[in-house]
This record gives sequence, structure tokens and C-alpha cells, in this order.
Amino acid sequence: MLPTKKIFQKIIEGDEVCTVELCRECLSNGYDAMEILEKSMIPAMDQCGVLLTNRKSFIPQVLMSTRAMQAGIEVLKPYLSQQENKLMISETVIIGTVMGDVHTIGKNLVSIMLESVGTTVIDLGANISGKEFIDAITKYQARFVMMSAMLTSAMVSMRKIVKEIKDHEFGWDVVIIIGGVMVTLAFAKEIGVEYAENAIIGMEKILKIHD
Amino acid sequence: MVGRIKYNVMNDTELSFLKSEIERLLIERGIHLEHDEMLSDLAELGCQVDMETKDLKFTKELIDKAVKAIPEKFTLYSPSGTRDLDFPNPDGGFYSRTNTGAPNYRDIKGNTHYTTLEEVEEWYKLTNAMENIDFVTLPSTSGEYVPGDAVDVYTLEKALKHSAKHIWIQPYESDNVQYLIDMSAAAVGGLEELQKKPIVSFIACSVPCMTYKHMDAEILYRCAKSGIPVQPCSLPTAGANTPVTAQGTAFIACAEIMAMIVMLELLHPGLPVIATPLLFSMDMMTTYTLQSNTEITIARLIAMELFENGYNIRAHSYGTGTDSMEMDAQNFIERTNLTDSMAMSAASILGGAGQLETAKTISPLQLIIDNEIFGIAQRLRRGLDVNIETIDSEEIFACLDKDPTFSYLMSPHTNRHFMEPHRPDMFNRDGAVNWETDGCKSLTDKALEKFHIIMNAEDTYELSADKMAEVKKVLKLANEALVK
Repeated sequence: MLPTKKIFQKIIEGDEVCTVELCRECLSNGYDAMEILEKSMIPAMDQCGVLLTNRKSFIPQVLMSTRAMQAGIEVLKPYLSQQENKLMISETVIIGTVMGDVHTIGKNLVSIMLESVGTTVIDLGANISGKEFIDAITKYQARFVMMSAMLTSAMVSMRKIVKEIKDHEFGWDVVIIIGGVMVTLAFAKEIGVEYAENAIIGMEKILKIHD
Repeated sequence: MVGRIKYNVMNDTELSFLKSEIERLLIERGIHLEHDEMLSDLAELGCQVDMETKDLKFTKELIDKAVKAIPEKFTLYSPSGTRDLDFPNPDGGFYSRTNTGAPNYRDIKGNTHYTTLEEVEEWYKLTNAMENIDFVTLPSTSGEYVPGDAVDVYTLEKALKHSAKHIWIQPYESDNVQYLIDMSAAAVGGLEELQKKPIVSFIACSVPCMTYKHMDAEILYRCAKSGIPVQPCSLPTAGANTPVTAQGTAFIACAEIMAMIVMLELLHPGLPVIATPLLFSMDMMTTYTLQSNTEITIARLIAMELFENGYNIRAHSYGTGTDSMEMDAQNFIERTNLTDSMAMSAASILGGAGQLETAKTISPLQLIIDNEIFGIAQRLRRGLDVNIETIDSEEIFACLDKDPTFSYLMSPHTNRHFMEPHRPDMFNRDGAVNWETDGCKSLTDKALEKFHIIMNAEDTYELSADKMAEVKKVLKLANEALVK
């Protein structure tokens, strides 16, 4: 089996140690870092995405795979050109549970999944006001904000926070994605934001818009 | 009960191990409690408190003292006085309650939407008529229809007006807790009367792991100060905020509840408490939270056994429910499997009646059917006595059946026992011809018929006008203070 094929396989298996070893081996054997990335790693993560979407793999398996890929990328980074490295710069996402709500499971899950694909996540926690979201967006120059609400009572607060963010002039476009048990597509449309039904869709939305 | 059927899911060694690990966790790691007043009081009562970090540790002596203070017998009263709940249940059965926390209501036409106050009234008219539902919760009305800062207060007003049965209250905000207590007190003529005959009890929830946010701490504190019973609750999700194993999730949930019980009994020795672990698991493929995972059902049995047998504390968990979106085969397989398993546990209370979609939706038709399911489960738990009378051996030995004129249909033994078999109200017990003549009705069709009969009848209970006026006064104050 070609070393690049082996890397593909080890990422699918979530084997971080072997992935790192194989990346080093490939580099010492003269493989181009970008070639390893393009022929092994990106196809492996695409395959993980397909398996997850088709309900053929479990979340922890995908997280292990992304961890293996991140470890491999760290090995490759010094060998990538400045321009190639620029491609690796991650998107920053601000995330939090809105004011009036303390539920965090879904939000935390989205954070973990986004971090696993190399996104920088600024997790503000729970019970977050509009001002706190705005301050974080400004500070980190973030293009993405994700917020969740578990309680119907907190949706009132979500509506208010979304309006505050939309009314604020950041100097760049900010994409707002909402989710949580009580939140519906209809509600998201009504307040003019994106909707993510679950953590996987939330992650996919960020990646899609980022691309 | 001679024939009482009960599952034992842990052996003595496992039970002792779980108890000792829970106590070790409370003593060595302790909890995080976001309530300064309560922390100060508990420090004075002997807990090790760090006011800076808001961390608190218990001692073995304090845990033992608290457990000793829990009343062995107590009563949760009903507003009507007709459905008071004595603990332990004198018949050896369990009590049941409706679902709590679901924001959605599926009406009889199948439309699902946020719950309105009118539907809350409909819900209580139904629950009053359900003979196998013993107490009620507050349906989660929506901030879309009711002031979002006070949905619990507005919903409680409806509960106090309409429910003949004990009310279990879930507050939504710290500031609302005292108003909910005051409103309940107004419905019975004052706090002293409420303390004597608590027609309400409260739910307070921990946040795994071992953390108590201000609102839930406030519920514990205000209830302890006011002498109102509490059903401390933990709602962990295996794999998300507790260990992925059902056992690990039961361990954390029980430890969190034990901490709440210890605090309550230290603050108010003798306060009625009911341990309420409501366990969930995360599906590792879809990330959705599930209620009906099989291992989590066993974990509920573990938790019931720990509290009821390990500590002699009354315990409460889900007794029905489903992860299905609708009233389909999955729904009925999951809920009857859960109900029957939990009926065989040591639980004193089984909850969740009327819920669909992992407790996110309540349905009046499902409630009516759950009433039937609980009736069967209650009968199952009581078991069968085996003795000379019930096996009817005397008639057999006497060879009465050899008499050509003998018929079991006419025997004295049959006369004594023919009324005993449980007979669900809406189940088909007839042949095909009559079933077809009657319109080939399914269970859901019959539930719909029953719904209309109940809704067209006079309600059996309404709070008196003078008491209701007092409740409304508190509601007005609450509205002024809470609604921004």
C-alpha cells in the first residue's frame, strides 16, 4: 500500500500515532507536504464526513480521525509554503447560550466538533447578553456567531440579541447561526438568521459558508 | 404485598460500592454552589465552604445526619383533598405524574406548536379525569404567548385554578421562585397552611458535574426556608456531560441528588424529599439526546434501587416516554418497555405521562393512553398472591369438577374473584364482528372519543373564587416585578 494511502487509512481509523509516524516517513522519503495533504488527509476527512452523514460512523470515531489529521498537519506545516500555510488559517466562531438560559450540552458539542476540524472557537458560556456577543465578535473579528436556546422563554432573548448584533456596525458581514431544542427553522427565518438542527449540521454550515 | 414483583439490578456488593463512591465524591471533591447566602448558612452548619470559589464539601457525619433527618413518612397533598399521596405508598404501588418541561403541544388534530395557556387548561381538565395519574406538572408554556420572564408564574396560576391533583413546580428564573411559593400559599390560605398541607412541591436541578446554578440553589434554599417539599433532580446525558456508560451516568446523577438532599436536610431537618434522577443518553451517531436507550433504562433502575433500598429515600424517575416523533409502533414499544421495567423497580413515582419526542412534546391523546398503560403497570407491580385460596386447590381436591353440573363459571371461587383481573378501559376485548360493527376503532380512536367525553363534561374541580382572587393578587405583583 502506498504511504499516502496508509495515511488515509490511519486517519479513518483515528490512529494519531501512526498518522504522525507515516507523515514523517513520507516527508523523509521525499513526498511533498502539500501532496500528502491533498492525496491523504483531505480525502480522509471527506470520507469521514460521508460516513457520518450516512450514519455509518459514530461521532467519537470522527473526532478521533480529526485529531489524527490535526496531528499530521502539525508535522507537515514546516514543509508547506507560506501561501499553502495561509490556507490552514482557521475561521473564528463565537458561540454561546443566550441570556436567560443555562443549558450547554448542545453548544459544547458544536464547539468540540468545530474545534476538531480546525476552527477556532470562542466559547462565551451560558446566559450571554447581546453586548457580550458583540464585544467578542469585535475583539476576535469573527465572521460567525452561533447561539443556542433550550427554553422557549430564552427565545425572546435570542430574538433581541440577534437584533442587537444585526444593528451593530462591525465593518464586515457577520453570519448568525442559531440552534437548540426549542428553535425551529421557521423562527430562524422570522428573525433572519441561519438555522442548524443539530451539532453536525451546525458544523457543516460553518464549513460550507467558510469555503 | 406477598406477590410484589421487583427487579433487583444490583447485588449487595454493588449497592455498597455505589453508596461509598457517592459519599466519597461528596466528601473529597464536593460541589460548586452559586448561592452566597446558602453557602454561608451551610458553612455555619459544618460544611467546608470556600466563599471565593463557591465550592463546598461535606463530611461523613453531615451526610449521615442529613439522611437520618429525612422523614420516613410524609404526604404530598392535593388541592382538592381527594388525591393526597402518602409516602411510602400504603398499597406498595407507585404514584405517577405527567411530563414536565415539554415546550410543544400536539393537539388532537395532530398539529404541534408551542403550548398556550388555553391548552394548559385543557391539559388539567384531562389530568383531573385520569384515574391512574396521581399528580401534575406545569406544561412549559411559551414566551411567544406569555410574558417570557414569567411563564412559570402564569402557568402555575392555571394549575392552581384547575388541578385537583398535587402540583410539581419547575421554576424558570431565580427571581420567580418566591412568587411561585407565595402564589401556592395564597391558594391554601397562607404559608402556614401550605407547610401543613403542601399542595405543591418543587423541582431543582443540578448541572453535571456537581454544579448548582443560582436559580436551582435558590429553589433549594427558598423551599428549605419555607418548608416546601422538594424533588431534587439531575438530568444528565450520558456521553455529553456525564460518562458514556449508563452506570457512570447513574453515579453522577445520584451523587448530585444526594448533595441536594443533604443540603436540604441540613437547612431544614425533616423536609420531605424525593430523589429524582431523570437520565438521558446522547446518541453517538446523531448527537441527539435520547430517553429510551435500553442501558439508560437499567441505569434508572440502579438509581431507584440506590435511593429506595440503599438509603430508604423515596425515588422518582421516568416511567413512560419515547424518542419517537409520533404515536407509532416505536413509541408504544419504548414506552411500555420502560413503564413495565420501572414498575418492577423500587421507584415510588413514575413520570412522563403524555410525552413524545424525548419529552419535547406533550399530547392529550398520549396522556389518555398512558393512563391505561400506568393502570396495567400498577397491576403488574402488585403481583399475585399464591395461597390455598388463590390456587383454588380445595375445589380440585374435592373433585367438584367431576360433578356433571359443575361449571367454573358458576363456582363460588369464581364468584369471589371474577372482578379481580385488570381491565383496561379502552382496549378491545370483543370479537371481530362487534369490533367491525362498532367502526373498527383503534386505541387512538378510542382515546379521541374519551378526550371529547371528558372535554364535554363539567370539570371536577376549580379553586374557590376567594382563594383564586388571592392567587391573582400575587400574579399581579409577580408580573409587575418580573416582566421587563
